[in-house]
Amino acid sequence: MAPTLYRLALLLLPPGFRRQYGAALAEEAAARLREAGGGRRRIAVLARLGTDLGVSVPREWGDVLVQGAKNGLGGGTMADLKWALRGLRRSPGFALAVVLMLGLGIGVSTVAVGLADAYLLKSLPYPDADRLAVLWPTENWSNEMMDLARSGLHDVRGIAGRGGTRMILDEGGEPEEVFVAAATTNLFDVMGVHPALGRGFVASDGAPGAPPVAILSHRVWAERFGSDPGVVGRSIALGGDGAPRHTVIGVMPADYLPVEGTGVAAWVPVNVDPTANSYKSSYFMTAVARLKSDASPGQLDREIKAWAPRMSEADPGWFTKERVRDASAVPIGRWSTQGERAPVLVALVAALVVLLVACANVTNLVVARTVGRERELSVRAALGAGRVRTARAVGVEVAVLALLGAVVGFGLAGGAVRVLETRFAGALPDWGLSMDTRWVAMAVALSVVAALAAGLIPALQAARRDPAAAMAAGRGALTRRRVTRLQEGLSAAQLALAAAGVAAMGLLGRSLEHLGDVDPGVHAGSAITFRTTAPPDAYPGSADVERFYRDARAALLAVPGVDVAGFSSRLPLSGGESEITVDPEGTVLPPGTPWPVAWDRWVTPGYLDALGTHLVEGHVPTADEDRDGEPALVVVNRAAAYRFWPGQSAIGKRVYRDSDHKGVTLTVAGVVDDVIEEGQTGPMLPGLYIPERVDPHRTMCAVVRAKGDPASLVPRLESAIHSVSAGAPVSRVETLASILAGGLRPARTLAILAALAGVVTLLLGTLGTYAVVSQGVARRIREIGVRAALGADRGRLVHGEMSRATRIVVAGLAGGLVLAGVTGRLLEGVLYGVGPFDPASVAAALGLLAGVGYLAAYLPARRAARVDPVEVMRAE
Amino acid sequence: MSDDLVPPAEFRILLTLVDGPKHGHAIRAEVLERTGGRVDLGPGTLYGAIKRLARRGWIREIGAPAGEEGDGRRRFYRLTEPGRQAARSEVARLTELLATARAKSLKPSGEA
Repeated sequence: MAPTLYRLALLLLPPGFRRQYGAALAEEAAARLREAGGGRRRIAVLARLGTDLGVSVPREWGDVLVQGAKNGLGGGTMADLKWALRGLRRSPGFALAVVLMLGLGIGVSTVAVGLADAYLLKSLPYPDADRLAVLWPTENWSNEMMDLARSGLHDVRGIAGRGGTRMILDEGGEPEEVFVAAATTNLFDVMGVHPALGRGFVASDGAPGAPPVAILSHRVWAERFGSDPGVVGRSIALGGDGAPRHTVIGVMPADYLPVEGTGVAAWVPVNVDPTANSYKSSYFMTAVARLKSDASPGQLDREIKAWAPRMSEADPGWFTKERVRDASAVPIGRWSTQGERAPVLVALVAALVVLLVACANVTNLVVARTVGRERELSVRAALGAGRVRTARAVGVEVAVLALLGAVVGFGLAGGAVRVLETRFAGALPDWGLSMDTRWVAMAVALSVVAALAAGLIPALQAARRDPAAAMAAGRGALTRRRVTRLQEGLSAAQLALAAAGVAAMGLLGRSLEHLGDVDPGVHAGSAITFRTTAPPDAYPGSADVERFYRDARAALLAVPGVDVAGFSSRLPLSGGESEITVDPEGTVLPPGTPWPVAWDRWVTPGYLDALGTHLVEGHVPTADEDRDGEPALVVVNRAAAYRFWPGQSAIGKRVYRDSDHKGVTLTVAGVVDDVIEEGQTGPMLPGLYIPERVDPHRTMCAVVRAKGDPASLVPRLESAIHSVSAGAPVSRVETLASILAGGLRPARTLAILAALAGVVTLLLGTLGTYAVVSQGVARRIREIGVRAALGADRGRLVHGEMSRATRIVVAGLAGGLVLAGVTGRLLEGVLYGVGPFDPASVAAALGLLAGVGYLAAYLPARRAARVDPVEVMRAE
Repeated sequence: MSDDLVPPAEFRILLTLVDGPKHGHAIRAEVLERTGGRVDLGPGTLYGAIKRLARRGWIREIGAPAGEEGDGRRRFYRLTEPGRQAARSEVARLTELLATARAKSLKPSGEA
């Protein structure tokens, strides 16, 4: 593998040097690699070989230039350079077109490769982040599993776990429900990051009965405690119902990127008590492991695959066959961007298609131009320029254009990144996207690739020309039939390539549309949301909390203009999911199968109406039905109805929150359409909307739908809440529409980018086709003019050109159809919701380009036929 | 680049050939050994230097010497008379520079 790569890299050296010493170089490199053996030493040797080539390639090319200048010889590459610049100055339109096309291709690809780099390759900001892996199963580890894994896995130095919980923070501002990570005490040791202030957790913090401690996030420390270092050691009001306060022991650094989500406010230690029931049965953590220095992620992956069946023996109910089959260790960088992988890959492929179409355009334009410069090249040949020299001259011309293209492309990429950063920040990863020197290198590398791709065929074409024939033929070195055939072939090829490119873009665009096009399942309209908390001092118990929300809802409905209002424990797309195990009526589980899971929302009457959900079946419980003593009526989403009771009506079915049927029995009253709760990817999960009174939640989110201007409404809603309890906070006032837009932004942004790439491809494809076809006709203008001057019927002349165009278009369409089929197959792996051959995309692409082809033939032909004969004769 | 100046890498290669013809791999090995692993000529650097030395006529490629033909693909290089002259004049130049430095009591780094 590596020796082959090295041999390929040798192609970068000047041909003369390569011919003489290439084999010796390859031999030497192979010998060194053999000596090095494997592992780290092999990588070191590879790095040294790469550096050596990096130094040698420019030096040897410099040598060629210096020697060329010394030897005179009508100039080596320098003269070619001058020739190229002179030629380009004479046809600025051609130069501009090529530079813009390559610039667009290079610019789009640079941004796409940069995005891919940021999302897929960049390591996360932890020390030795490449030695961190997230362990299977990616969620729901119990303390027992954690201990078993620590003793069972040999490739890891440490395994830490963290789960999420919610607590009320009542310090330095209004009380607020915050997201708190429950972490094993070794979490920060495993991550390799330590508090900026105070200390990290020690093992005794997690012992049963240990005094409750917490580490604050930098954001909370700044917002709630004014960045006061004295907070360390203080006991603060952070806790849940009846839960104790916590003593702050540390503050994390500002640049720590929590794996559990950027919204985390604090970390508390997980209590490990092997004698407690929860030790075995509470599955709430995600596990992250740090590898031993001599283990690779691949090794750990193999080890955990071998280890998983042993877990299954210990706990067959949880470790089902499916779970064991999915056993894996995923490098943390890949794990944290798994949602973005698919769209970024699609965008990357789309950008490469743009670059390919641009290169194909440029190739065709340069070849067509070379054919058009017959006379000039013949003179060069007559003056003794050999085939290789001519080919090199054409190659240098393309290289100059590609370099200019790189400059334009780099500028475009810079502009695009600025637009992305200011307008579409949500599309960028948490750790940002910054252009650095590697981007310059990337633009230059892409331009080299583009120059090679676009210049190879023209250069070979130029090399093929026969000087003797050039001399003999005088005006045209190629016979007229050959020129015509070549021109027609080129035009057809251009049309085919452009059609395939446009069709491919159609496929990619529709895939992104599918990735981003999600029905949120709610009607945002003018609905307003905010959060509030029942003050613990005024409403200590759960019955009090329930009373608070009943009163608050009544107060909101009393505000003039308010139509519907309701509360829920969580809003759609607000993250921090929790799952509960449910036992739907009639479910018979084979032994060893886990209980089905569902997400839960605790809602008051009015919430589902205020959200604007669509009722599919049954009814939404009214306020009258939501009273103590009445049966608890629950609404399920379509996914739950389908999953739990396929082929039956869900209405009237009972659901238990636990397999032991101890809790309140819930009866299904209605089914609503799936609401997008988690994110835009992945299947819809079963969900339950459970009456809040079953288990009152202290902090809830209100959704209010009202007539009139939302801005003037907000103060009235606030005073309504304060009329119930002056101490109740109103925070995070937002419209439902902005919450939905925020949650769906990344996918939408990518769809916009793909649409832009599609427009660019379309532009490049049509312009290229027009340019090449019309260039072919333009070459014949003189002939058409002469024939018109000699009295030929103009209509028939144009007709003749058009039948020539038909030949081109038919050949191009046939080629395009085949190419579109092939590219579709190649793209299959990155397509979503659309097959590899989409007749609509292909037909649209072919139809459009056929039209362009005809137009490109018709316009110049008509112009030629109308030219004044005298003009033509004079030019002759 | 003036003709009488010998770049360091090329001078080192000339020196390895003073005792007799060698192939590329052996040249690199000797340089590596004599510099205690400090100077490791990469393949591109090595053959780039060999190319320039050959162009100046200071070394010449020859067939494998007797007893060394084991691998027919190996290419051997031998020092030419002008090459030996160039090495000598480089030695003279360096000796003179060294004498100047010593006269000013300049010690190499690493020595007190």
